[in-house]
Amino acid sequence: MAPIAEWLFLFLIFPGLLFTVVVGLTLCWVDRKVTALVQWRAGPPPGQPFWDVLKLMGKEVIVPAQAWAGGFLSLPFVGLAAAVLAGTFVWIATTGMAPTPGGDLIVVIYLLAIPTLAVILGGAASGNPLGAVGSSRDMKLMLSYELPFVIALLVAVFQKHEIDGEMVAAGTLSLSGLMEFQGDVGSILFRPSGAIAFLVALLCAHAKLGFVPFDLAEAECEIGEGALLEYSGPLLGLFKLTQAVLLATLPVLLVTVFWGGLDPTPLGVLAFIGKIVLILVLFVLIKNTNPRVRIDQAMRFFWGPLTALALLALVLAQLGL
Amino acid sequence: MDNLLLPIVIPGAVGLLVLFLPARMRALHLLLGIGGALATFGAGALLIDTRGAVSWPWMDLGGLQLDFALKMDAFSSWAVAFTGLMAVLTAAYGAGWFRGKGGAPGRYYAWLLLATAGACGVLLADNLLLLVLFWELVTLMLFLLAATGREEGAPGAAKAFGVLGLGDMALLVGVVLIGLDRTWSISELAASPLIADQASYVLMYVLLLVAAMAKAGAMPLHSWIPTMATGTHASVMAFLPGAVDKILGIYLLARISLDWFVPGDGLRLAVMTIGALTILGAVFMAMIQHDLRRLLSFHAVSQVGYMLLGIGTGTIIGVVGGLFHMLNNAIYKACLFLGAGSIERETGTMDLGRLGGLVRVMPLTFGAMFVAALAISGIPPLNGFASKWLIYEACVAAEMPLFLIAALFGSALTLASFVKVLHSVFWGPKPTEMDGVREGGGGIGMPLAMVTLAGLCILLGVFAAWPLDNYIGPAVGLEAGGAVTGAATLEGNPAAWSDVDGTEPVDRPYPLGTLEPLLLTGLLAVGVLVLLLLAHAGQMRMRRVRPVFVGGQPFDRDENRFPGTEFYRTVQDLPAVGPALRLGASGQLDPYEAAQRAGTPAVRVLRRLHSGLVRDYLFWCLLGIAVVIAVLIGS
Repeated sequence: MAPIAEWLFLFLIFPGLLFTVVVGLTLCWVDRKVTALVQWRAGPPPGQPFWDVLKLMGKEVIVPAQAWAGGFLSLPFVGLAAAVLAGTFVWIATTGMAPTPGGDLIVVIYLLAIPTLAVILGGAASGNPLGAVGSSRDMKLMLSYELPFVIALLVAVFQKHEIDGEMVAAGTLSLSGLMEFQGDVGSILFRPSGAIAFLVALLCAHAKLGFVPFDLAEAECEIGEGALLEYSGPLLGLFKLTQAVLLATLPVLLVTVFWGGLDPTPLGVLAFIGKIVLILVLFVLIKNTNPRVRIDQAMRFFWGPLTALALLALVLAQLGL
Repeated sequence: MDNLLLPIVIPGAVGLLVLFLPARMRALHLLLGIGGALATFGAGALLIDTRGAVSWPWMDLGGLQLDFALKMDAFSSWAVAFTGLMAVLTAAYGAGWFRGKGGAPGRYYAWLLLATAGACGVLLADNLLLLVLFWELVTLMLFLLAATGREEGAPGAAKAFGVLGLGDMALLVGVVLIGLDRTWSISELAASPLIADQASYVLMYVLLLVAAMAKAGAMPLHSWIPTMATGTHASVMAFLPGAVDKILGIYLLARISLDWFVPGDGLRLAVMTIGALTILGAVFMAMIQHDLRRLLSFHAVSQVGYMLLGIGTGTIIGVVGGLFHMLNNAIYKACLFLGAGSIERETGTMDLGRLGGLVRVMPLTFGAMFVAALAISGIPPLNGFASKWLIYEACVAAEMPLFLIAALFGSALTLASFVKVLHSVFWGPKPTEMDGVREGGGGIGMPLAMVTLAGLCILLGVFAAWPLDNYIGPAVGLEAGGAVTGAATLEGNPAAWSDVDGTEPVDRPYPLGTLEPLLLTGLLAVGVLVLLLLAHAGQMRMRRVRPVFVGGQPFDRDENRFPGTEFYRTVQDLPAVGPALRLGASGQLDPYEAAQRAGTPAVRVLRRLHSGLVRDYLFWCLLGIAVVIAVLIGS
């Protein structure tokens, strides 16, 4: 296969667009089902998230008169494309399937920021003051969690390990390189530094997904969905899909960086699915047992204790623990 | 006459000519100004592959040897051409700025061209004293440009001259020390660099470092840029502090760190620390600004931190990243300043609280500033991302996690700050005050300059391998297309490993990292296209335009606003961060203000000595003579 055709397949079919969307919507269903069980309800059937998106796709688009229409209409597409691209890189790395990786950890971190940015810019461009409040909150939330998130991920990069009497760090930003390193020295998660970093990264990923208690950017009862307030129909559907793709990407990123990724054996695949579902259930439990925080509380939480914890993990990693 | 003289002589001669033309020949001023800049750029572009040196003996003042020696190497070649390009764009923009407005453009173009001549002179000089002379010429032109045409420019110009004067003094002392100790010829110095391991060499390096930092605007010598920004023409900000001063400062930093000295670990660590602190300190200050030009000027400071950080790592990839960032920063920062200038020209204000909703009335300005804002925030696949990426990798290569974190976090804060700018200037409801604002009052020159720069942001990001492979890589001694070029790194060949000296490749068990900007862009574009097709097949065509929904209330565009000035109120109220920001804003950390505070009592004492009586002055003279005689007898 020619490289271009190969990349198109990787990006559009597997493990890109089609695959991440299907996996993501399935994980959405898991989320809703577990939430329902926690709340003593029956919950939706497995196909529900798919039907929801399909229904949105059939609705009309309403453009606010005060909006910058060009950006308002195009940003959902950019956000989803970037999320899918990040997902493609992460899945390629974790399954070890492509010969040449096209991006590394830094690229993925940046690509994962674009969907949030699309929501922020879309909300600001909608011309709605409540949308702008949502954008402002979302931007501040992003600032808050990105700091500990990045530090926690870098713990895996700078984790030192004694090989033949020498302290060696992975010292790579390549996702496959990080997996290789863990193949040599064992999963980073099972070290004190890695466990702390994983916990921090998990909470940051939780905020990145906009789950309760960090849903303050949408806060239906205060600012009516915030940045998404003016979005309707297919555009809203695209944002829902973006959310699903992120749900299919972030846990995989965590597993790749901290937990050895995917071992391509039947047992390995089962274990991998178990890891993803475990992370997802952790998300759902945090989500269902906490009330929403205010933005200043969120900022203090992420820049205070969580950043301190992440830095502690980094120090431990430098010491080889 | 040698060709190497052209980039200095052309703008210099045309600049002087414009200066002495009668003020009423406006059209001729414009023509000569733009023509001179174009000719400079043309000369720089034609000479880009020329390598060589020329020298005319000039003066020998008892050990101080001043030759008119020029040299074109792989570094100065593209820097000269790029300076010429920036001059062309600034000149074209200026033509629009002066259209339909009073004020003679003659001075503006004269100082602009002379500054260009000075900058090209610095980049080409092969004699240390000659470099100081040209360097000083640029400082002087900066002062004149800042003070020209506007009364409110005076305090900023004075401060800039004060801080830059300090830097220039450090440069002069450093250069004289090097000259007396070793040589006045830069080529000879580069052939056997000084190993900065003893105190005297460290002192020389630090003196030159201070000069480079003051010029580029690194903290704590940055404060002249924000002060100057509030009262100076936007195009002057774009050209000097935005672009050319960065080129010169970083040029000097790169020269002293790579060619003239071999800095030790401690010095490199110091440079990196200053870089990291500059990134974070300045970007936090930028976030809370309410004046657009002042906000941009803090970003101009913050971006210098990345260059210092990259060059400070001492790895090949870091230096390449730092130099590429210098180039990229000049492009997007100039674009942003020029955009701010257009907005000010049309609306008459830079207050983020009063602006709003300009996206539809100023689409070209918005488009250019939007691209540049994303580029400075390092959003892939724009040029800012490509150079920042190299710097990030360099931090990993140098095993400096804290600096990497500072750089990444600084990038997120930059993004936040520009979301605020975009929202408050262009989006949201348009206040009634902004009715009647429209684009195009400045003719074609202004949008042309901005759109060209925005286009460069995209091109240099998507095709980042081209400048890295052909110009920036060779500038740090890499063979074009060689195994260790930045391009090789970008194309997925992580061979760009070198130890901190940048000499010996290090064997690493794991690859460094990869970025393929072309693939990235291509896939993103394909993704958007496919999704658009899918949506089009659905109901995307059905559209309805309705007023925004604000809780069911009638919408009032003056009342129902969320101005960008409110965006980061939360950050200002945080513990630790808030007080630190207030301390920074109070000016207590500014060495210029501190010097003023300390200087006032000293001046008071001196003033008392000036009694105005001949008797007292005679006494001081006699005392002086007595001291001199005593010293002479003593020796």
